[in-house]
Amino acid sequence: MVCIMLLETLISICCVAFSRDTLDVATVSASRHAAVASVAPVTSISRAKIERMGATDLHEILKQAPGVSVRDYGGIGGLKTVSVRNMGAAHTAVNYDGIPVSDAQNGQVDISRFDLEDVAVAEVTIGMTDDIFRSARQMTVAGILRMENYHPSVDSSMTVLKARMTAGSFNTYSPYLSVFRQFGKKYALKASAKATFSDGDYPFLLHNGLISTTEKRQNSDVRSGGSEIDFHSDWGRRGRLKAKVNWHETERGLPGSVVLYTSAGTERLHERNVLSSVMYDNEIGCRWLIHADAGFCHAFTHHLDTAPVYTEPQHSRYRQNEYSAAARAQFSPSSEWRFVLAEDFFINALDSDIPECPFPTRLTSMSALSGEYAGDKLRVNASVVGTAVVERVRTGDSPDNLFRLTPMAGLSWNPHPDLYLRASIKEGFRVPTFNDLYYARVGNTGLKPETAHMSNLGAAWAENHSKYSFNATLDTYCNLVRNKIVATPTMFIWKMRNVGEALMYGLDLTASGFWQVAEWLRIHADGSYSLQYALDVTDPGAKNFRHQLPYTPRHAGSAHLALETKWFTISYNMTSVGKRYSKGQNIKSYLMEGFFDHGVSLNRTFIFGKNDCCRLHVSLEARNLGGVNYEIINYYPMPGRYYRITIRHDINL
Amino acid sequence: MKKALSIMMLSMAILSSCEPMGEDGGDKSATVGTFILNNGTWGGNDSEICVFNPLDGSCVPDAFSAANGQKLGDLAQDILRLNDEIYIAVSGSQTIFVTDTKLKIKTRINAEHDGARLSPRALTSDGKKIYVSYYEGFVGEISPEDHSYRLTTVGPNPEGLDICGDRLYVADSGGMAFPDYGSTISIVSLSDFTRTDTLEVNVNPVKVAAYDHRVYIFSYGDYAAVPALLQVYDTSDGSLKTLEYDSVSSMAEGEDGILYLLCCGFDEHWNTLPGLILMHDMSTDTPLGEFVTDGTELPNAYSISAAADGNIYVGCSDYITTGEVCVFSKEGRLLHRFDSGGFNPIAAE
Repeated sequence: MVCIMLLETLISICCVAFSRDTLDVATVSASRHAAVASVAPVTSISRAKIERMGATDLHEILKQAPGVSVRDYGGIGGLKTVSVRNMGAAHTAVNYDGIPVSDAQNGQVDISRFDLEDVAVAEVTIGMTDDIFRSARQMTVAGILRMENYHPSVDSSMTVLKARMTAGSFNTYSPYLSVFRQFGKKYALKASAKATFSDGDYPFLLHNGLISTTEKRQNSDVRSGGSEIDFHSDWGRRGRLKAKVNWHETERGLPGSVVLYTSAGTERLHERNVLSSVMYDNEIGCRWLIHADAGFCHAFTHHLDTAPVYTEPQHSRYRQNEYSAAARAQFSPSSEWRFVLAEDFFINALDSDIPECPFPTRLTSMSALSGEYAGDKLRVNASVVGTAVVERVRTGDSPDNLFRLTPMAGLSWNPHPDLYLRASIKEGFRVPTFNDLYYARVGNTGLKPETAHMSNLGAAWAENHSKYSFNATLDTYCNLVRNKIVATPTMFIWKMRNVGEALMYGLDLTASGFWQVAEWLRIHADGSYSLQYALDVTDPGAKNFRHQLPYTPRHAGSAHLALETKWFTISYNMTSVGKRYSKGQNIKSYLMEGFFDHGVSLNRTFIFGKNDCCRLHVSLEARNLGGVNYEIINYYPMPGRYYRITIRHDINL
Repeated sequence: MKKALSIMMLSMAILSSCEPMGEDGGDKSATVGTFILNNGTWGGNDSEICVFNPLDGSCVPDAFSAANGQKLGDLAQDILRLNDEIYIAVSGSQTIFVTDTKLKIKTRINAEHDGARLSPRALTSDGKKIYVSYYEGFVGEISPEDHSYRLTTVGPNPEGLDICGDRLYVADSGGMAFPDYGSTISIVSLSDFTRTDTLEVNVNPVKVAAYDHRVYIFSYGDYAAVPALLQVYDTSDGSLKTLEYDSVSSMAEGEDGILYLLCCGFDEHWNTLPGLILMHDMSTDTPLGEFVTDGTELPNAYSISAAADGNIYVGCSDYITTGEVCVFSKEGRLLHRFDSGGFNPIAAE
């Protein structure tokens, strides 16, 4: 009972203790437990693994996760979105340290803006939400990417300073600075600031028929900066309050796709994102758990296009605001049962200076009622989510009000101490984005939500010993996405319509473990493999009927091997993607060959000073060792081999 | 468009199509027949040409790549044959390929203005020079002798163009200036290659076809309240008249002054209805009724071209799979139907 909740608390407590050793063990065991005993596939990537991999960017670690695909347009400034089982980024919710990150205009979140330095654990849940004590808005999506940050501790009195500098190929520099400090026994504050600068002008080999030329990526420079302030207070029985403000700003060139015989690069993008939230948590007696939060998120985008086809430079500015309030309560009548009622209310508004902007305001209410039985060997949970969306526009048509009930259920059975079996079924959906509904001439206010029916059947084996561990999971699934919102041609222009239908089925396989070979050597290894059929089943008469969806490899896999010694850690990472097609019609002209991306990193931590108060961590990385400019999106080449050095200094005062 | 030229090209095509394919036995790259230009998809660098032989119905896809070992580029818009040279305007790649009749590249024309490359859209010729609209607001005049070019300024985002007498009529679409699309035709004097006049027409003009003293102008409208229209400008009296045609989506000028109008409507759910082709006599300015006589349906009709072989080519596309081309005889009977081997078959020459 409340095991997941406790696990999470455990994770945060361990994180805040800031003792790397304790953290490693606790986070790893916690996530491993969560992953194997969950009712649906959960991939949890701990801080320890992040450091072993030498990763500095979120997308690098997510590419290793089974069933997760990252659309990467290449380079530091290239858009990176995440989706689960190729159902589309709009079906994946991103939650940053308890704050839902949404984009009502585009429906997808660029994950390149999150710095891993703050992240204690990154977790992707596919399908059914394992923990029912979650906000209702996390429940109707196909996947959830959650990041949990290091939290300031209120347990012990200390001040921690952390400074990092990363330097890499293509004139890339990324400094980071954070400080956290306790104030008495009840309050703690953490502040951090970061920046990234990169020319991004990496060379790449361009193939044009039989001709290959070396080109340089143009207009792909990035400047970004951000800061975050966290305030924590712990009033004991009177609860805990957390307040957070995160600001991030980016100015970058948009290199666009590589166009043969010319180089364009006339677009620039300036973005500002502010996330803020106040959260309150408390346990009342031993039967009640409550949570309440209120938040404000702001997104500003300024797109500039100076292409000479416009009579004057085109400035498009968009401002999105989200105001949210949410509350949930959990009642546990006995040790086996718990019930949760969650209510989320949020308002999304879009303001823009583009012509004919209808200035939409969307009010969404989501209510979830969930129940869970957690016995010795069996855990079953079920939820039903009611969604109501009301939308108003200043000019033009507004869509009909939306009311929808979505059910879901999952179970986890533990027939053998090391074996867990799981099954889940879920209905999810995504509401049309503001662009889908209103984009000049193309938008269609008659759109219905795109629905996703998901089912998953899996098994997990978890063997944990002090000298070694072995975990394996196998999940099979079948998903059906209906009423897909796609742009379709009409007489002269495109129109958004609900016409697509896609069937996805396949399996995800993972294996991981460690072996304590000697006191000075521990080997970590893990790997994953995914097989996916993602078929377009829209029109039996069409040439692409039952063809694999664009950019969806049938085979994908990853491997990670780390040798952790007393002196240093050396690690090898590999991701591999099989052949796929850039178009829905799987013909040779649109075939994209598979690729391997290998990387190695070497890192070492020096501990010194009074009471070992100082830690100096040095990491050297070489990425994409094969040097191949593979493409995830057609004509968006990835950088070839590149290098990075990171030096991090922590001081505990 | 280009009556004299069409006749000239027709005879040329007949002459060339009498040559047996692959005379030397080893050369299978089709050089005889009609070039089907596939526009491709935005950012995909997947424009291509397939060569169709109307005599035996055979079709050679990817003929440009096969002839040159390199790709055609991004978003080819138009193709034109003048004497023994083929001009291909590749808009996204901002270049015009000049090839021989076997599609072997002779040169590329990369027009620039103030250091910025220009995007070619539509091509036309009076048999002496080639005229091209550049989306950045220019018209270029290309000399077939040395492939040099000169530019003159017209309205924003010019598209279709045609020659009437000693003047070039250019549709200033202003298609990138949403919501204030263009609504003029630039009139360029061919003798000194400068714009002498502009003509006010419906919003968003995109195609121009001239015959005798009449200039037919097709405009998209603003995709909302202002409808698409077919208008005719009489150069003899300066009058502008709107013709009573519904749902015109494209047009092509055939030989003997017949204008073929491709009409495609859509239903209330935005499903595209099958295309209908109507004929209009440009010499008398009178409707001639329906073109297709054998009941052939044209779902997803996308483009229409009157090729030099005298046949009418209708490109069909759903934008997500490779296109289909329907070839009709002058009498409106379906002769062939084939896969265009690429996305969005935009023109046949």
